[in-house]
Amino acid sequence: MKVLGIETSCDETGIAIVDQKDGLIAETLHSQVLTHAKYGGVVPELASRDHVQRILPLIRQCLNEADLRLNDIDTLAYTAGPGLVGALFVGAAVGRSLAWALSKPSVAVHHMEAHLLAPFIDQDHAPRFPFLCLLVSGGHTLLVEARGIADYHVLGQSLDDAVGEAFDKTAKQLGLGYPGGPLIERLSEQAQALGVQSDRPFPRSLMAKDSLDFSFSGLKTHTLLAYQRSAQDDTAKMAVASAFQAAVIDTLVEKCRRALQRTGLKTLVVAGGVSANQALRSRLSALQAEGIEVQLPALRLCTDNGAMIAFAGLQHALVGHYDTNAAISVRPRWPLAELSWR
Amino acid sequence: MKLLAIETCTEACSAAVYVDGEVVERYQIAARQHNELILPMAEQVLAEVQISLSQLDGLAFGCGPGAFTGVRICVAVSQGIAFAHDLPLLGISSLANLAAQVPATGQGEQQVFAAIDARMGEIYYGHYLVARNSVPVLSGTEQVVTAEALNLELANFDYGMGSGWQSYAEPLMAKTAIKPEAIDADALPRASVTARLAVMQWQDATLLQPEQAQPVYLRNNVVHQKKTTPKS
Repeated sequence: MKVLGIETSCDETGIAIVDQKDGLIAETLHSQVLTHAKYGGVVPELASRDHVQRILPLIRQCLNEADLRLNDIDTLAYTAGPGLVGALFVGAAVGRSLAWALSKPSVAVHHMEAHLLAPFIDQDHAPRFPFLCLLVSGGHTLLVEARGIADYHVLGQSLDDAVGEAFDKTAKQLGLGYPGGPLIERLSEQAQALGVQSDRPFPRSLMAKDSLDFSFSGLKTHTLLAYQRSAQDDTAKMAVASAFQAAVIDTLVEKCRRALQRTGLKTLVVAGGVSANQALRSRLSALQAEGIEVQLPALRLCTDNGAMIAFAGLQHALVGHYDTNAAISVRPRWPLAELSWR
Repeated sequence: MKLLAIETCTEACSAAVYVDGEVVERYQIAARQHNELILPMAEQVLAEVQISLSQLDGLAFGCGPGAFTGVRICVAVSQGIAFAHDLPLLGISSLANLAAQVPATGQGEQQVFAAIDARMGEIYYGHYLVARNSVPVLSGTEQVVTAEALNLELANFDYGMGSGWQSYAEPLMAKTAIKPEAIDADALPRASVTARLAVMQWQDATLLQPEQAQPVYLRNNVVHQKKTTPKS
């Protein structure tokens, strides 16, 4: 079975074709990051406008790269949520219309489920349940017990800012620019190379209790105050960015360890845009010494892409989770825990 | 000649099929339900005339102006269907669609002021010259303006069409000298008109490839309307 995946939930137009046997065959992607960078965040209307211009050329290009015709595609998969409503509608409308016009089935894919299955695309071409998943992105911070396709139990989540959001806001406070994650990561690396560090570590929140939830807003405020009290020069920025990142990573790693102990799961899957952070990757990889299998997605699969949508679409198609009518539906707010087959 | 037409740019949602002179249409005023209705509507009109998509000569779509999401759904659905069956497309302005709905009168051209409520205190408008049984001809360009800032070369129009006349009837009447009985503020763009206008132009127009089917927004200063959103 060949599935064409369409991702338009935010500021990336991603198209890919995944085959049940051969895995990922082709993928194309357009990132709008430069369009939005000057506004310090994604402008929803600009995102939607760009998707409707890019989507068909990217589909055509993807088919050409795979040396396939549209009719060779068995199933259309598109991101139905969560995400920006206008942006979601572009991919859903094109995906549903293609499927309808070709008399092929289509699958509405949950964006975060696609993220958490992404590490398996290159591995086995099929997910191996059960596993613990740490989902870290600009909109989500979740610890999920993944039991099977569409069977997810949320163990913990952020009570305020998502971790990627905390990175972006902190970068803004330090005057670094957007998106903030890679900028803070680079400063932290420089700090480490030069031996720069802050006087004392930044707080790790919700650590005392037996909690699997996260909170980053206190850390964000602490970071701002520390920076305001500093010399506010390049060295101070390095020290503050590095202390901030260390606090975030310590928290994430510790909560993963607790969740693994509590559930007895032996596999940890990491997904979402923040999983591109190298320091986080190496810290989590170290859990392998404790007998945990750690699955990290390839860097290109950490951020939004069409491959993960096609792959998640394929998993649902294999168990018959198809759209049942010709309505074009999206769910801008769609909790992962509510992902049950209708 | 066989065409499928769809129009979802305003609160009206409609699909129509034109087959050798006959038009079958599904039309519903259903704000915010276009996404659910449009493909089933297309399915129904095609079934009624027993035509399959592969038998079509092309696809006509409402390209705007109108509600941004509605316009994009119209375009994205058209792109998908046309791409699937390699169909050429023609975009029809929602303002031209309104102008074409002026009641048929005798000889000569009617000066039509078509206006759609653009929210935020503005209207989308176009000045169209409409002759019987022909495609409305745009005079100047379509624009987005406040009714107060409207600056027209012509002082006397014959007809006023569209939702812009609901919100701004008084200032628009003052500027166009259109009488109340020559105003249809309830007129909405509809697919049967989209289809008819497309058929009339099909031979002479430059037809579009699926990826060339794109929205006409008119309003382009969109950055400060809404907050930015963190990436999900």
